[in-house]
Amino acid sequence: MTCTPVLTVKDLHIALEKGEALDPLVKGVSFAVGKGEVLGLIGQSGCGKSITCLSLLNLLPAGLRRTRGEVWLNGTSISQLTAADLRSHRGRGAAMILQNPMSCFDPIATIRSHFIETLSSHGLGDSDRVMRQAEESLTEVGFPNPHEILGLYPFQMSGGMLQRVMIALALSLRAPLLIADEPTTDLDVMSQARVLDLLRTLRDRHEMGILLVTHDLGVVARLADAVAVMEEGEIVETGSVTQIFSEPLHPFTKMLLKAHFGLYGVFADIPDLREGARQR
Amino acid sequence: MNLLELRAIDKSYRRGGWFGNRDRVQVLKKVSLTLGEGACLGLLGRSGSGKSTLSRIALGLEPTDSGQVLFQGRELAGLGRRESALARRDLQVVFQNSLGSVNPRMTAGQVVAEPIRNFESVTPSGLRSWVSRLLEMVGLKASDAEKLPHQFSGGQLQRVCIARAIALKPKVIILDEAVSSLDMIVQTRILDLLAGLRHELGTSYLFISHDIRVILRMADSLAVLHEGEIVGYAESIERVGAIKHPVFTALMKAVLPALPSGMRDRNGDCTDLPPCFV
Repeated sequence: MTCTPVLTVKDLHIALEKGEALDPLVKGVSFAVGKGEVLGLIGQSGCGKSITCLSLLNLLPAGLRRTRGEVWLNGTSISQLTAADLRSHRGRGAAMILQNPMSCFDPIATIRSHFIETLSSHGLGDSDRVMRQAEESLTEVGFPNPHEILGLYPFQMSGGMLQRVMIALALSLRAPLLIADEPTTDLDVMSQARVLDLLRTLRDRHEMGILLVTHDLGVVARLADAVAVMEEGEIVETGSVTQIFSEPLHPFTKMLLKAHFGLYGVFADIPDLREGARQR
Repeated sequence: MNLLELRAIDKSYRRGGWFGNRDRVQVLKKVSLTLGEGACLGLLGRSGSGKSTLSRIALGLEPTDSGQVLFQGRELAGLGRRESALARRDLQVVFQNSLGSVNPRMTAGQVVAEPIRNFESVTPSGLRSWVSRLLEMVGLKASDAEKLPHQFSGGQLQRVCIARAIALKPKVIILDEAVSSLDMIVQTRILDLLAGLRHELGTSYLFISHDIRVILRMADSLAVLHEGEIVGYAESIERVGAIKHPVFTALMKAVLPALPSGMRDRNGDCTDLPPCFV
């Protein structure tokens, strides 16, 4: 990747304010995501992956503060952005999809309203264009009849469908960066495969940079180009995906891989199953 | 003897709640399953295939339209009050949503102590040490008994739920997506814990999941549920490959790869694990 990365994070520190004291949660994290590149950020629950994501768009909840470090989105430092600029960056500069898609939608608004709200808040308001754009994005994420989807309410759809609508919303703003925080964790394996294939298409067709946060190394194996391993608020190892899988250096990376391969031990023992897996 | 037996279970729900039309949706169709002593039966299915309805019926929490649930050879629905209490003692469950499975105002110690107090008469100090022992068995500290549910992480709270489920050494535990939302290291730890308990106490498991990786690791037989019907069954895990139903093949195909594409051979074979892990 020779051009400017779509996302650069340098020496990021995040701390929890405890009265006067500060409890550090993220301690000096640095990484970059290039155009058309998928960076897998892996680690255990509670290691600081999600708050790292939130801080990239200045979305940290009350009590948490970025205490040091810098974030550049498409070459612009987010500390230099005014509140209004930052608002337009959210969605347009970087889109975000989260683990539990149901909680990201307004339960009493149709999918059509979600598109209108998202696009018009970025000044893409006139309704004909919005609807055309919405239908186009929904088709792209695999809904052959986008018109029917637009009339549905979130509770009428499954988790996998909602996650694809989330991606369609992100897509409709043509953001160069997608922050995907455990995008497939609550989905069953078939929906998982579908969402991951879709993310791969976004990378290949739109050259989107993707920060893929997950605890499942299978997801990383399927999609990521590079990997950053996080343990207790620090990045302990980075490398290309083949490097990390074949020659892990840090003991924590080795532990993660061991847990991961432990899930596949049986596959190697059953010839029939191996045949089945080969068709993949 | 079969510990738990489902015979030709039919179940339907009315669509659309109170105000909707009165259509009924058939969620289980003639489902029959048996769980033997000390066995672990894996139940694989997609979201919405009827897995959780099946687990609630097996627990006797929900009535069936037709068909029977037999626990230790006797129909659950026909048991008297005392007998059904005894059956409940031996038939425990761990759900996916640990935070929704505990009373938020009770400490972990009270949560784990509840089944013991329901069935045994013990002194307060005896109860305390019983609870401490259980918490230590699942890898928590005895001092964690004082904590409230929100002070635990998801994986820790799931272990509290497992401690509660094993408190009275039940004969059967139904694990309904019990490890699905946990990160891999915690997941591995809990699977090892469950395997150890099975070895130690001879507990049988009905292990429900959509993730075949986890099922293959735990179960010794497998049933595949699709749209309320059992569409595939393998008596032993070695025979799983013989299940030819397209839904099973599709689930197998969707399994996430063990290795990145650059490291798989031409066949997409994933057996070539780095030497240190084999």
